[in-house]
Amino acid sequence: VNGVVPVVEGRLYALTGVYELDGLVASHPRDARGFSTMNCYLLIDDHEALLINTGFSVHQNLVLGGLTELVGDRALSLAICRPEFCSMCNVRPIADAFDLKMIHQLNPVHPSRFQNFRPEFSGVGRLEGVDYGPLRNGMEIDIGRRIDVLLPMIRLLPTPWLFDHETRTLFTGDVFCWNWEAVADGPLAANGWLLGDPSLDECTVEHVGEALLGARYWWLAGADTRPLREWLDGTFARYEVDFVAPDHGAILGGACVDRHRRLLAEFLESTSGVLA
Amino acid sequence: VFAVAGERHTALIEGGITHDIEVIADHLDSLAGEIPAPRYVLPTHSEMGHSGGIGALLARYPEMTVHGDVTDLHLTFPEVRDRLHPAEVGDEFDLGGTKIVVVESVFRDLITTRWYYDTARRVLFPGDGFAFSHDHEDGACGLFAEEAPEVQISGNMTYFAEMAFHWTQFVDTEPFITRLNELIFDELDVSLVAPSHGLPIGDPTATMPKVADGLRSMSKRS
Repeated sequence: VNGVVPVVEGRLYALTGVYELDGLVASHPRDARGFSTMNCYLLIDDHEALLINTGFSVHQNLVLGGLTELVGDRALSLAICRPEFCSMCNVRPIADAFDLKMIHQLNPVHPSRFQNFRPEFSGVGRLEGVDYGPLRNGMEIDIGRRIDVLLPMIRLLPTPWLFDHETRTLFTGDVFCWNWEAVADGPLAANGWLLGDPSLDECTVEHVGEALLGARYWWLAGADTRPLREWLDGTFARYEVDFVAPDHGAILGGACVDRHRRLLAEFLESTSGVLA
Repeated sequence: VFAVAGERHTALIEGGITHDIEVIADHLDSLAGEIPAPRYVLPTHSEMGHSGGIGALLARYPEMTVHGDVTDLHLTFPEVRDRLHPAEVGDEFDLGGTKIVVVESVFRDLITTRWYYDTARRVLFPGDGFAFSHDHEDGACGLFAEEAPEVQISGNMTYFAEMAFHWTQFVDTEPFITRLNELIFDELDVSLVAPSHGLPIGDPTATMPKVADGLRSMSKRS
């Protein structure tokens, strides 16, 4: 069931759009079965709000409903962190329904030309006058509080991570997405896709490896992962992280943050090739 | 986007970027009567730049179906879910007089990427796989790579590595070069390479060494 999940009440919400793992999704290995989520994150401040990613078309009602419920009269901006459909599908319906302040995006092409791809919407609608700007490594987004933009060393496509200093949440795109459900109404879904109790966390290094190598991080096998591990260590040293918020699956909190950071680091070390 | 015309059907390689669909449709309209109507669209992968126009294409051509890497498209265009079909390496699409065969995507970003091969003309469609581009001020548009020596293939591939092939700096690209040469010269006897970005390669024997240099330059280790 899709949901609007308070990660930090009044400040950060996850809009969790569920989808089936059927071998036809780019986020997970082809042989993965069960259910995961496309997580859009809504950051709320006193006068502004920022939505990180807009979800798939099938999640349009969830996203529009969540925004209507939570944004109020705040100025809404979007951060489109991936050049993929999961990040872009609802840009057009959101623009039509809300007065967007800004779209932060990777592509330098105006959103009315690049993100207006759903055939059920004619013309360019209210995308026409939308202001847009870049998402660049090292920049900050100001929504009344500071959001850092960082380009991760571990990535497939140019997909920035964000860090919200107030809620101390690290938004990690397509990394840390290995926690999914075997059944639609499993324990993760029952907890709103929040995972903070290590006693309920059965994830292993082997599972992390299978999830990465079977999908977007197929190239890690035998790769020189030392720079990736150093970047990961440095990032978690630089930021005090209370929540890891990936695009897909469980949102990590509490002791699960460090546990999954270590699982990733351990896998990267185990798969590292020998430098030529 | 490439239109591959057979005697009975035309296949589009790639689904195009949204804002180019009208231009693509105009081009196809201008070819009406000369080539069969578009029957298939074969995206190499489900990134926006390669599949973004699929919804508009399917709305325009009611008989058209999509085959290839269709990951995420059922979540993006749910109203046409029954027209989306994954294709595996070895699958064929008979256009009449030629076939499009799905072949191994040797060099890719997304693991589900598909490459295609036109059997009659011996043309390889590698999507992003030969990712070199050129500046639009340099007059190279409409030329083959061999006709535009000012286009620095290796340098452009290094630039693309930052955009789409970040992973190459952590791996040895030599096995990819070896496999690419096997596919192009030994297995398919490719006469023309038609990448989705950059100039087509009309003389693979002459130009592949430059591509190999570009692949090597992407890697810190080789």
